[in-house]
Amino acid sequence: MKLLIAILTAALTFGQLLAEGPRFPEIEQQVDVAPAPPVEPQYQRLNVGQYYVIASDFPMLVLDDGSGIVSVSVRTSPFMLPSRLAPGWRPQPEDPEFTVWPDRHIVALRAVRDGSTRIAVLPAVCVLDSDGSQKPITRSDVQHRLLLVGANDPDPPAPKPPSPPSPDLSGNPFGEGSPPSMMIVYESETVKDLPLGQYATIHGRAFRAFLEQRLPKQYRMYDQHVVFRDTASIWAKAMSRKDRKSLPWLYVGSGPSGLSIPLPESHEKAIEAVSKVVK
Amino acid sequence: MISIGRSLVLSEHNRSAWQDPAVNGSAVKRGLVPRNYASHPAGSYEGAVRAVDLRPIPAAEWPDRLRDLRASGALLSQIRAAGKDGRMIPSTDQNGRGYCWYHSGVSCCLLVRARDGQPFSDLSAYAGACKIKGFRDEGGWGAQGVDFMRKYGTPTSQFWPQRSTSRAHDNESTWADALKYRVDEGWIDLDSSQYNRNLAWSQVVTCLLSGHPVVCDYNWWGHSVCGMDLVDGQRAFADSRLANGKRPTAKEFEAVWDMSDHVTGGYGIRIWNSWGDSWSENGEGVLPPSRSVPDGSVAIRTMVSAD
Repeated sequence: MKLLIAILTAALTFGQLLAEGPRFPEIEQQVDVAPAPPVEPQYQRLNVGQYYVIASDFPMLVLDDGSGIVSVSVRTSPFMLPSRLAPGWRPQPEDPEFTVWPDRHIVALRAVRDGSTRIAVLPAVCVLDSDGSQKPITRSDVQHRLLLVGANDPDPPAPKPPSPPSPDLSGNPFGEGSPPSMMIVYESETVKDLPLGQYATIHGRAFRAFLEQRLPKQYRMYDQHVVFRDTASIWAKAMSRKDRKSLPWLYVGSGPSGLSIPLPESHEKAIEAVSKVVK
Repeated sequence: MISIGRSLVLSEHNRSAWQDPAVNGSAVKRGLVPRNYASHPAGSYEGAVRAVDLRPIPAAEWPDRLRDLRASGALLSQIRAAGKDGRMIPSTDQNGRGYCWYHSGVSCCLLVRARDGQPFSDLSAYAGACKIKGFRDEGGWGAQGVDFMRKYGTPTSQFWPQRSTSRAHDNESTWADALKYRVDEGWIDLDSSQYNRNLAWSQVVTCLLSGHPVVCDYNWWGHSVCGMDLVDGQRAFADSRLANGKRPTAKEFEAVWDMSDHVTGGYGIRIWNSWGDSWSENGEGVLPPSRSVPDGSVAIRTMVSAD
């Protein structure tokens, strides 16, 4: 195990510690991970980017298994996060979009990549006996948790439901009654890693000028996670399609015809593709 | 005094043009107040963790990427130039109030919407600034404004006329309209406790080279502006002119642009100010390397689709 935070000392009794030990996120779904001893720790599911926050009024040590699934950092109080990044914690009532921890000691574990990792939380206090000697920490003082990041699942895999019928790829992805339209779906977080030809198609002048002439105001370049105010809009309809096998992806539609293909490698080829549908 | 094209390069030599100039005969205001870390500690802002996930583009790639973006017309200033039905998006105008910190975010929103192909909407920055400050003329910092934009959005001038401070516009229909122009995701709060200034700069550069405008707060200027493009020194030198129209010598240029600046690598930033189109060149100026590293920065990545 990897030592990640500094040990702070304080003169306390175990009684105090047990009464006011560290606070953990509430577990929404708890199952017996293993039927027999040794008992598996409680687990919490996280997505990459979310936090597992442990808060305490007393110093604590958090040890992970060194797998790099989570990164551990000590935070200063008061610590605040958007609630959606901190599953298992109750948001503050006056502003539910945020969760605030007023506790004196806060350790935040951020999910970095998919996988499972075990953590141990120890009281980082010095408890003295009547002789003034430090009492050793016992097994019962240590709390364990299992963090499951991403698609990892300790549950046995459920039988797969029958495959739904393949989506209809022919026709106009925006709907037949929609005006001629085009949408590129991409991931803005990794757009910088795209080949120049595709980047220039998404953000560049030549393709945009073509669209402005051919499809004025009827083109979009959207991040795949864009939020739609109007979920019935033609853009939302195309975005909801499940036929994208990669990103960036190109949708073009006009009347009954349409195209749903990976974004061509250059703006010249993208213009060619759009021109096939939008005359 | 040196300019790039017709854009001012902000330096000591032309302080009167950017410190407290009169634009269109009126004194302009700035309004940056350094971030209050006690009330807004590191990690307060939405998307704080995204800064960690943002892998910086290696500095060795900056020149080529910048050249490619410029050649393909994919710089944010180039997107702005044709972002309103093929014409230039007009600059915002804070009109003498200390609301730069909200206007800088709105300028970023305008750029993101144009980048995404969303039609131009005349967003009214006074709405959010008035709400945050209780209609008082007070300064703030960029992330404060963007945080509001993420929660409530910014209404159009149809619901809250530009530069209006009337409370009559503060009604339900205004804020229903504002939700259509909400910031959705950004790289916000660079978690400064874990990063040194160099890395923060490389993240700012990475955002600019990825088409994500950056709200840049500058304590030396007491001002918050929208960061649009990275500007490399070699190119800047080639495009620069003295006030008399002549090209500067290398020595004259170096006096305002430190090509060997170790923090920025000799790069500057093209900024979009909020003093209207009359200031500098269409409201845009260039910060030389020594003035480019922001003291606070927030990048806006995506906005809600309004339709």
